[in-house]
Amino acid sequence: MDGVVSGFVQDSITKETLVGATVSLVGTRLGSITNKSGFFSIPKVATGKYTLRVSYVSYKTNELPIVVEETGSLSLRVLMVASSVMGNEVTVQADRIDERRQINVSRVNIPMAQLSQIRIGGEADIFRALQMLPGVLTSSQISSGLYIRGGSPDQNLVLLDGMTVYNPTHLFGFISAFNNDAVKDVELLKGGFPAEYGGRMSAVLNVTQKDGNQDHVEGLVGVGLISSRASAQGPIGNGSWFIGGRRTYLDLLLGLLPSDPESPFPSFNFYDVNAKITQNFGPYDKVSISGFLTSDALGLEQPGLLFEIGIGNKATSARWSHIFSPDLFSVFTVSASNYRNGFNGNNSGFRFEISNSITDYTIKSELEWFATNKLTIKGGYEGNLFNFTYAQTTGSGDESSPGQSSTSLLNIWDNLHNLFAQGNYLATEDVSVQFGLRSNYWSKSNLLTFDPRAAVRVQLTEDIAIKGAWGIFHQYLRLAAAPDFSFFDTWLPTDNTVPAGRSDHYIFAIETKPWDGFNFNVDVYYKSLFNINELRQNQTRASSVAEVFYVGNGHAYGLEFFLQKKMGKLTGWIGYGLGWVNARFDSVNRGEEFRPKYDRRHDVKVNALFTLDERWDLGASFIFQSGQSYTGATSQLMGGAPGWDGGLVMVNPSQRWGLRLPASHQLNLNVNYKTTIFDLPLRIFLDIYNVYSRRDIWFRYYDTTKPLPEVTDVRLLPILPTISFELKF
Amino acid sequence: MNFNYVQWLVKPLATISISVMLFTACADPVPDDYTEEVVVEGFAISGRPLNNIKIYRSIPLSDTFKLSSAIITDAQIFVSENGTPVQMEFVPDSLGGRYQATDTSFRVKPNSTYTLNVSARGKVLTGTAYTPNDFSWLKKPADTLMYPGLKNEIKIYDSLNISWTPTPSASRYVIAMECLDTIRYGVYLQTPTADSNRRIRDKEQFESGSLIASERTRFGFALVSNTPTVWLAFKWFGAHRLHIYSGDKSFSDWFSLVGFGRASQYDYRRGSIKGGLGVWAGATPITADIFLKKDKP
Repeated sequence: MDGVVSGFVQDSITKETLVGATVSLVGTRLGSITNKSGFFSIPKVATGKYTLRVSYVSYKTNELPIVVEETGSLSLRVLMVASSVMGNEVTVQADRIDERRQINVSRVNIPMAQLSQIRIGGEADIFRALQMLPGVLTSSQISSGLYIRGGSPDQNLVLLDGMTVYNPTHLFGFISAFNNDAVKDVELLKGGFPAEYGGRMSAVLNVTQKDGNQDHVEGLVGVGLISSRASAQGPIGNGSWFIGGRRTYLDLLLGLLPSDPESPFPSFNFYDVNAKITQNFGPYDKVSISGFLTSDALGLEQPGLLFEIGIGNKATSARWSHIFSPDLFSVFTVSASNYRNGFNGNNSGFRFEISNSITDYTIKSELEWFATNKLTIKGGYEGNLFNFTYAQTTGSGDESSPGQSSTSLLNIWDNLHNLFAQGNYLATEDVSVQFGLRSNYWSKSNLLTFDPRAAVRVQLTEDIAIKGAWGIFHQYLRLAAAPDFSFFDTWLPTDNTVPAGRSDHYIFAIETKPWDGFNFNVDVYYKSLFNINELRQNQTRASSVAEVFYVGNGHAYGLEFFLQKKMGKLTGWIGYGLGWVNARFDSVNRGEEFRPKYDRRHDVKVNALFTLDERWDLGASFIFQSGQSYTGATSQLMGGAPGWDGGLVMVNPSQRWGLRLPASHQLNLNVNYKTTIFDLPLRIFLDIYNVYSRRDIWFRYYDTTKPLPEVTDVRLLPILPTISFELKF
Repeated sequence: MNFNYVQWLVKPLATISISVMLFTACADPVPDDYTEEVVVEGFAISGRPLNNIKIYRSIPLSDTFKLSSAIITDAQIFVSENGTPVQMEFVPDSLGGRYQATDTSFRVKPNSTYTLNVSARGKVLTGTAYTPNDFSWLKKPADTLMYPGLKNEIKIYDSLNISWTPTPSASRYVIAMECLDTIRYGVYLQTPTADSNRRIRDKEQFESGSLIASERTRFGFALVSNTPTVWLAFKWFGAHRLHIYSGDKSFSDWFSLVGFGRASQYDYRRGSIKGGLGVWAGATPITADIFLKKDKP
């Protein structure tokens, strides 16, 4: 009689579950990979004695003798010991068996240890690290928005413990709002993602927070140039807790300096808080409650002028994992996520206020059935209740005594229902297929759509596999945002004046292991984009979504090379992407096809981390990208108005984004030193951002205030050395 | 297996680096080519003469913009009012010249359609403007206002509230505050003095550095038919004329492009001339005179 071997893989000290660990039975072709909850299941295991092998990056491989008896099931908790140096542990044949089950087209999983080494201004940033991957572009060095394979940032689904995050950035897009100290796992699906994910056209970024140390209380304090942070975690009951936060202190420092009341310093601060509490209720149930809070505030007050800008996210989720049986795992999640931003200003009596928010209440249930050694089926339901608000007021006076004003208000409730089912089937030893279907019903538009997904993996030789994926991806939410700043993002639903966005992905990939410890992948992709949007600038009033956006189509295609080394003293990757993006809108560029500003033909990324010894780590990253686009001009004219003696000079533009700026490139270096202070581990980080101080062009425009229109370049940051510290206790 | 760094890391990196250097040259220089366009700028303002239609060619970026050298003096221009032709002529002036109704007593009418047809430099340009119905004040601004001082600008004053009868066709109203005399001040007082006029603020927040910083008229918008008149509307003290324009869509679009004085790039979607660039728009105004008194000499 066959049995089931299942259980959890955890860190031996903190008891933190490990996501994506490889579990196999030595000498067989049976195995599994832990899911987002750290759970694995190997069904249809014949009675007998086995050696269970578990491996995970940065941990020593664990081998346990097990016995599967006639009672049929064996439930385990496998504890993994961290390796202080990424040793040359080699994943052997069993890993490859399980990789054949997991198709994972265009999936990138970078170890947190590597992600944390990529810093800007002393701040480790997940988005900055992901921008080091081929096919992931940015609008500029000071923006953390991810343009993935021709898709814009609003086309990416960003999840934190199952909560959707609608604006995951600080400092108007400069860094992400995710605190690395709170993050356990980051998974990026650049395209062709399975049916369990939906609502976005391009990519999925799935971030999992740490549960917390179940063994003892520990903490961390870090001080950097931009912000400082602190976190603590520890056991509670039959589980753990984690809390961490960051705050910038620029406003506190400036407050200590004398300032001219006629021309004061602007006040700016941001903070974020992550919290999580987890409890195990017996061997089959686990409940976790997560919270996430971010805030950015900018203000200025001087005679005759005041303004305040506030941006923030609030999100919470409760997740219950239940094991019905060794081969049936479920997750039930309820969450609420709110993103809001607001501006209010008063310039010499003219008052202007604008605010908007999106609130998303979600309920999601998933069942994962490890039906056989060859077949895993996953299915579930997701329901979203949305509330969109928008308010704009112009008038006089101030907040305490407002004068006459006019206000535009929008308050929309809407709901979305999704059902999905997907299966992973190991057709033969060398061929696995993934198939899925997601159905979506959007209440406001009374629209029902279906998103089929399919993927296949064929193991050609021991070291070479080819993969393919195809899928349809619908999106109902639209983002009105400026391309370079995450400043005034406004999420809107698709109503019956515009069709839903949709993309079709076609991906072909070759996956190889040229040498032990190396992965080399080549991806070729084509993505067609339907009903994408561009903001109608200068629109002061709108009663429908069609009045807010121009709607058009586009397509993106390209190829990517990615060579990655995850283990050993030297780790890192080299990536090269070659890509094209084109769009066409009836009301943009006179209806002619154009490339978006963020289209970059060549994209080279090199990242390396070298562990010199137990105390010293050296890191370097190099980026080279084709220049962004700019719009030229062919002549100049004047714009007059009744009552003006002259007017203002304007240039007549040529093809939109039709010209290319010089290529951008940058080298960053970092040095990490480990020591102790009062017997506590201390790390000192020295980072040099933009080592040779190349001031890339952020954007180019024509300055028409001069006697002759002058082409003016606004350049980005120069060399920026920083030092930061991290103390653990 | 030993890792051969030279073979598997250094060589590929070197290859990539060299390739990168080759790609570095792939940037487009700032273009210097010139494409001439014909530009029309004209407004049909109800109650006012049709006397300031400019037709000119766009000029190269390498030249300093001088309207007088760009004006097209030999354009064929046809204007009709509700289908009835209006005779037009070219009149030279200090800015190079303009086209106006031959009959100088002609006044634009409300609730009328004005079509424009221009032939110039081998191109045909057309446009249609519409003037909304007349409307009137419900509450005019006070004819004299006392400036409260820079630090009190954000406070409210009931005397600043103004309102007018709404016009259904207007999605928004353009508000223009025109300073009638930037030099003299004291001559307008009940007891005249020799006091001269001056600017209210040393620095205008959003106009500073722009070409319209010295213009006597500042524009704003109102989304409904009432608004407080705010101190921001005034750049000087002294005699002013407040205009409220109810315009057609072309008028509103044009002002969203140029009204704040910061546009450096023409947007064809804000223009209203087919076959060329520029604006042909209609509006109906109401006006009121205001004298802004100084808070201090």
